Amino acid sequence: MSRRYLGFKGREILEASLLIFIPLIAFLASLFIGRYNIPSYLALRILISKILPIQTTVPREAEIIMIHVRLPRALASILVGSALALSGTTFQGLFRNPLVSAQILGVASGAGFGAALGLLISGDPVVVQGLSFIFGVAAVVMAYGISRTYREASMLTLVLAGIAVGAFFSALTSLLKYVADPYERLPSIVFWLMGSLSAVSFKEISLGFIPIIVPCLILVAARWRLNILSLGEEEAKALGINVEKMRMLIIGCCTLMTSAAVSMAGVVGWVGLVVPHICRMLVGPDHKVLIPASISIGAAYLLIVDCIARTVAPFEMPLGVLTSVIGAPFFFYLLRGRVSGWR
Amino acid sequence: MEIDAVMKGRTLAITLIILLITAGLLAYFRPWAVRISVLYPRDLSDVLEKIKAEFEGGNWLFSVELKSYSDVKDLETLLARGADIIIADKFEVIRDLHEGGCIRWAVKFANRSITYYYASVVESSVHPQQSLSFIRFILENPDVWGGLNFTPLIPAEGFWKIPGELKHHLAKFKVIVDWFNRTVFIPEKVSRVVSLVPVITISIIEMKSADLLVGVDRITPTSEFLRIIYPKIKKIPVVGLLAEFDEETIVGLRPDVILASHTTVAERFGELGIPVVIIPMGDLSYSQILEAIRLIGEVIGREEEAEELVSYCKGIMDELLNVTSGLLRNERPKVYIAMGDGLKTHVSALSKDAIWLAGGLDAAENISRPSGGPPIAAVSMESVLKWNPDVIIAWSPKVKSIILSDPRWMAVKAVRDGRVYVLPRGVREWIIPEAEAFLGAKWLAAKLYPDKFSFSKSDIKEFYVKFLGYEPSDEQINRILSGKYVTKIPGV
Amino acid sequence: MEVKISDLHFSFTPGREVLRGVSLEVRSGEIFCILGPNGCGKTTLLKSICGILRPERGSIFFDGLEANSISMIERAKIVGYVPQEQYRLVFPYRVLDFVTMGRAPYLSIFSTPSERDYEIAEEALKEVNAYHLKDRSYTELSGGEKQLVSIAKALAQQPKVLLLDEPTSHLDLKNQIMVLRILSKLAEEGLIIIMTTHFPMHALLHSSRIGLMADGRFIAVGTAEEVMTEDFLRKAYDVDIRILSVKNPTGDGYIRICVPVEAIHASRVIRRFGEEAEG
Repeated sequence: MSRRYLGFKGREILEASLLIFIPLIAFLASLFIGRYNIPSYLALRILISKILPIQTTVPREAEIIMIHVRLPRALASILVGSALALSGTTFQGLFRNPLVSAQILGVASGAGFGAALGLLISGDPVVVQGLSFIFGVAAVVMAYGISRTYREASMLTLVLAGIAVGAFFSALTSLLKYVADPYERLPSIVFWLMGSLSAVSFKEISLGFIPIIVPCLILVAARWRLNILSLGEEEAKALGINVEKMRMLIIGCCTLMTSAAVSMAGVVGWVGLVVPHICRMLVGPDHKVLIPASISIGAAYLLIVDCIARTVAPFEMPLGVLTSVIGAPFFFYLLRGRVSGWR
Repeated sequence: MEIDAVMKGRTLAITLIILLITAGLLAYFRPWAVRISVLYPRDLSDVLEKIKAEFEGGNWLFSVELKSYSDVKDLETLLARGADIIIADKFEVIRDLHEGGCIRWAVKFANRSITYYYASVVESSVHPQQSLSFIRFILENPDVWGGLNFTPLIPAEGFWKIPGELKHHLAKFKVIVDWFNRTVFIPEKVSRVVSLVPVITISIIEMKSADLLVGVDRITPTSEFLRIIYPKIKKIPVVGLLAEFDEETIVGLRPDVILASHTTVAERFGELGIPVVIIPMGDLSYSQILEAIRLIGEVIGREEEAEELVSYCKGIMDELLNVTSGLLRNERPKVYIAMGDGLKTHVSALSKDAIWLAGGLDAAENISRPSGGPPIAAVSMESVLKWNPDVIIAWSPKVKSIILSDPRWMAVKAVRDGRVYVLPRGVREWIIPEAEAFLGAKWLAAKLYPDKFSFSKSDIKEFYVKFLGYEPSDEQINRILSGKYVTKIPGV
Repeated sequence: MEVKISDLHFSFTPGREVLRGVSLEVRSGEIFCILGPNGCGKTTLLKSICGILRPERGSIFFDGLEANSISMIERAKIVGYVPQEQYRLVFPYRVLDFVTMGRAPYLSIFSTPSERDYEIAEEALKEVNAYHLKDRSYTELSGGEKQLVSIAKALAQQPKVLLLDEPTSHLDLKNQIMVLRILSKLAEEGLIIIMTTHFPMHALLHSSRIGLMADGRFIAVGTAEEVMTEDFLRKAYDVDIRILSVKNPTGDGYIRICVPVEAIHASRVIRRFGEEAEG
């Protein structure tokens, strides 16, 4: 009897291993796929030469492409995909609403504004990423602060404040677009806002790594508590949970992750909305399993989409566009016959 | 005796009646009068009747014969039979008649909503003087025939070889056919020009005609170098950019013509009655730019200066083509234009043409300009490595430093060979569609084939002295070549 | 275990007090029924006891321990709360996972339930005769089943006090009886049960003591005989009610039932019944 509480144990193991293998395969695939043709045996040799201390000569361009172009992109895809999916799942549980993603508190708008500002005054990638991150977090802090001034400091006021702050930063971004030189600065801003991992190098990853990994670990550790929060505020209080503190912790973690993700990749929508649903359909609503699943599926999803973005055409397709175009039909297909994971 | 008196009285009465009838008939038919036949479109019957009545009322020596026609065929038939005056409601008709030598000039004298009406005297008229006076009558008495629906144009516009008698009744206009084959009527003497397109503004300045500018685009006054060589640019009101314009300010400036690149501008100002000439500068190649410069010159009435600019540029172009047109594809070095973070490239018709003209091969030749937006496309690092260009043109010093400091770019041939060149920038970058682009092509050719082409500082000086009236110092030339002059964002 | 409440005051908006000095004492094994009209403060009182709402004045003691002196987590180990509306759940949790959430007070923020926790949850389900539902999805259950499962969740907290807000309101007759029977059993096992109800009959039949509440305070507290008088009931509900004794159909003695007078006057069936009886 004691084993049965998890359901059929074999199935658990299968699920867990799938959740590890799928993103792993996607990761390896994205190292092997690209516009520059590197034959598989060569790619394999390059990888091995980096992992094991074997001396082998490889063509310089191929090595640079695999290690300095594809590898950072793949790592960034994993970080960004997991961050966005995890934030989406968490927010949906926290707000008890299937239609929210982490963008609802204005993170993406704030981050977009920060990036536009950075591109306008400097163009240096570090400045852009840094400003983007700062303003993403600032937007949520603003929203939180606004909601606190109301006596009815509920989730609803927080969401409303977030929408208002988001609109505010979007408007400012439009203003920046208007002032920008239409031949050069403006296109950079537009490209950035559409989302892309094309210029990602280890430098960007090192900047965005900690604000994503640390909150991620925190949320994974606290994942069972999320179930309780999803019951509602009063019920959670009656079970002894400090609801206010948990909420701040969760919102804080998600904001850091989302802001870092957007500052690395631009505004990539859909991942935080659809991947949580897909995960719910696959593993059910228990956050104990759902949270790790979101991380895994989110990473795999973005790895696949980024692969497509850089191979399907001679120019780079914007990530934000592709995630929607691919995600939508896939989602409808899943929706057709399956239990949807919501009541 | 009594019968006689009655007979006399009757005879008198009859005579009087006959006299009256004869007078009436004479008055009506005027057999002595010069008969002028006027051909006109059928829907103008009411107007022409009125004009005829008034004209004949004041002029006993003339009689007007009105012949209406319903279409061009009709018109031709009537013309063949002989006519003195033609009135038409379509400019094409008048133009064809002018080309065929049937008329030597035309007058645009009225409009009914958007239809304009033209009149002229046929060359083969047997009563030219009298016909002319009929037209003069029309021009001098607009209140006679002007009505609610049929509005006299004041002043009326005249084209081609207007006879002297009419000259001071008319404002002299010229007919321009713009890039989209639109017929635009512009005053013969243009003194107030608004330009919404940066490269057109610069071209006008290069034609030494900056004095004509009363309203300019948002970008041109921000050019650092231009502010040095032509400080007055800062004083000219800014009225918009490309498809976005400040209507009220422009109308307040009372321009004679507006130069634009989007048809929406023409639609809007057409309603307001200001002529707009459209030239889509962004899509042009080198030879097309020469035509565009000529067109601009024609519009602003500075044909000579335009021709001077054109021949200078053409000289450069021919010099380059002489050498490079024979080069095969695999002989040409691959050139990649890097913008932004290095992974954006310029894909306009001109930049591709520039590379080809200078004897190179565009690395991004398969990528075409995204429709509707600026000519910039994003590429991946892998694509760049795949192309492995021999030469990289960096849009600005910033792009060059990004490329040189990034280890991934080391694998690119151009970086290894040290052939990353910053695009020179004078008034604007030397690759956007105005005369400086020809300097740019020559500069690039000299970089790609230093043994075949020479491009010296005195060449640069010559250009700026000749066309912008400014002799740049050596230091300034260096700044131009290192791309350090910027286009300042207003307010930042 | 003894729960003692003295002089509780609470208002949602300043100036409008919902609880106006409520005092109460309950002991282990008691089922205490709070009767009263809508809006008299029954739900507010329950929420104050389990800590969802903080009273402005007055105090609550659990075995002498003042409620404000213990943490929320400690309180949750003492008091279990079953709310009135069924959980507006958005997610179809498995029943067992749902009940296991009751173990939250015993788990730190970074831990997940252990085997033992799941065992406790299963036992709680057995207590309420709902073990067969354990693998079903909560959102698919019927109203009665949901109520039982909610009680199981509260039981998983291993509380000493169980608060239930109108546990029988949305149930059909059979389920009502089932729930009341389980509550009686739990009380016998030593739990303190405090429940609110609309139905005077349930209070009459199932409680040890009754508290009649009106306008934010108790107007009568005591046994059924003491509290369920026509006088008190009229004061609380503003409706004419008669208390009748009827012969116990299943054994000896009499059972007291209450009937609203208007129902008697309005009902034709009863008149006809009377006519038949006469005839």
